[in-house]
Amino acid sequence: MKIKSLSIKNLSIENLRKLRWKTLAYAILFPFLLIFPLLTGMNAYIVRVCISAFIFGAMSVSLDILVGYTGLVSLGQATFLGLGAYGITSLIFLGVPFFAALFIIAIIAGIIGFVLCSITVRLTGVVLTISTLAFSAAFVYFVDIAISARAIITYPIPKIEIPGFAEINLNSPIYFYYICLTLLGITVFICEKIVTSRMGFALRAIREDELAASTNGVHVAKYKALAFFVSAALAGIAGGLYAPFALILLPDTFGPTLSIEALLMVVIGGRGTIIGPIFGAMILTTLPEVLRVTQAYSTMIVGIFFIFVAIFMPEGIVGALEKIVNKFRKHAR
Amino acid sequence: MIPNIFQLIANGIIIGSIYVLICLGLTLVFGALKIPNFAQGIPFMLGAYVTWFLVAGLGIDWISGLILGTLTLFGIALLIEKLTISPMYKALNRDLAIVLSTLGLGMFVEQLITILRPPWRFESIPIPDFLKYSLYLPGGVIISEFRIVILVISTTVIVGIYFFLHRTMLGFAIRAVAQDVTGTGLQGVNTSRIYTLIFGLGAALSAMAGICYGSVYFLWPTMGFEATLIAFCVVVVGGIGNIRGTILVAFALGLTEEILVPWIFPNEAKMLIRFIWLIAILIVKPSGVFGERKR
Repeated sequence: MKIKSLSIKNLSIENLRKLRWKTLAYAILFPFLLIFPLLTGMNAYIVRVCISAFIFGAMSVSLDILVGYTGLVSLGQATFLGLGAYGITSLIFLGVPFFAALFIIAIIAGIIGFVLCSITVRLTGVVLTISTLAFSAAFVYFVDIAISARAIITYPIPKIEIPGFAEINLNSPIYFYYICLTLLGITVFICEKIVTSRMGFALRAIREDELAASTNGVHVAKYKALAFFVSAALAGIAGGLYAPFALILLPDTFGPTLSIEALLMVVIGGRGTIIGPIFGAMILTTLPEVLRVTQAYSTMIVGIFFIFVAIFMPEGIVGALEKIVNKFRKHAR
Repeated sequence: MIPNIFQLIANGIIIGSIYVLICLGLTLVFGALKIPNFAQGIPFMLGAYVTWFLVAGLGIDWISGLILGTLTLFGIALLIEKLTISPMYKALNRDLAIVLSTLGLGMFVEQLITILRPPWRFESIPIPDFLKYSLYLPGGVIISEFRIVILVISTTVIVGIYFFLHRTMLGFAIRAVAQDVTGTGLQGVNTSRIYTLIFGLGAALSAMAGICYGSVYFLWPTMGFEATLIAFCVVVVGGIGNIRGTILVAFALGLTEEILVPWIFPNEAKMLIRFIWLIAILIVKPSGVFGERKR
């Protein structure tokens, strides 16, 4: 039997130091994104690319709670995005106001996440990954059957009324840009609050060693369920914004491919950093757009980029940056 | 019309024997290297295309095409392992880094093939003329001779793999690496070379499956990824690294699918059943049907 000691460094002090750097990074990143559309002269194309980066960013940040902090490599995140998208569409057809629908969707997605967790709570490692992948694939076929084969849902564009202030039309990309940026900000805020709280310590303890964590009084099943609930609920909200963005919903969109892409965003950005997946999502959504000049070869270049990151930055971009910073710090001493 | 149950069983065994070939390769890599190898579909697809090129383009006969295609993919896999996978064995974030690089590799190769051979051609590997006839077996079963050849190939491979793993020194080394890498290294086995060999072997088996599949059905660039999803399910249900379990589950999957075909209406329902089956088994027994219990 192997006995691993909990690395205390990993749990507290190192992370607090990391937090200072991260606060600085957020303080630069978010104001920049706030004025970004003004810098590009409200270019609708760029704004749309940014919106999809924010939505997928929120999805991958919520996945980071599972992959990076709890050590559960889940490939079911796109399912919750799809759940949110289909859920909010049907709720708006029923006449529920937009923000109320978002809230309901978050709860529903969270409960489904809880169900997925209770199914997979005994599984670890690769088996968990494959079973969540199966869940993700099953969802696609379920939707395919439930909504008569290959039906396309076109989306009714909702009007958001804020009493006494304004009526926001989601059709206008610039309003939508700021709504999605707010979503990303809220998601990041909630995730940061969670991982620096007592729950965050418990999750990291589970990641390092489940057995050791449970002997130290961490209720493993409870915290895994909580992590799944939060992650699924946040992804559900992101899905709720994906529907009015995409306007057309196809079951295949939310299949294993998108789930894998979400995992790639986390890995490329750097898992267990929260800020990493944002960069990962931005890179993965903008890279194909930038490479559009190379036409058919763009996918090949993205593939080579993945291999490059895996070989030279296995800890992701943020992990590599941290390594460089630490090296300089050692030299300074 | 009530379908002939013997015919369905025969079809299921043939499909199962193709699944066995894909899954054997994956379970070898999975069991020994403990890595989620999403690149397992690449030799499946690439092997089919290489053999198609050899047989349809250069006019080589089918059996030599099979052997040459498998050997080519064995060589390519050794190269790929050295270049894109072995640098990550020592990384802290090993599993996820390997997932990343294997997926990147898959994207690269799939797109390369898409550019070289656009997927809407509906071409398959030509099979020799004398295998195009059908056999009429007792019980009203009709089977094309070629499908029987596939069954023979996969049976040969199963027996061959069994003897290779249990009767040769290399096979012993592979099984030892699967149990404990450090311990095997201490006994004087070059473990990194064994890793490369396992990867190549897995790719060769997968290529063989792809060639058989591509001779019966069509070739398309993403055929590998779809095969990988099925193979992952079979390997996990059979117990990771458990060859006996993998073979049995692959045949069971082929049989259930073929027998359910006439009764289950949309194709999507068939796929849904496949995945629900997997999740249900994992709830009952997380280590797979034939997996060992932990502790």
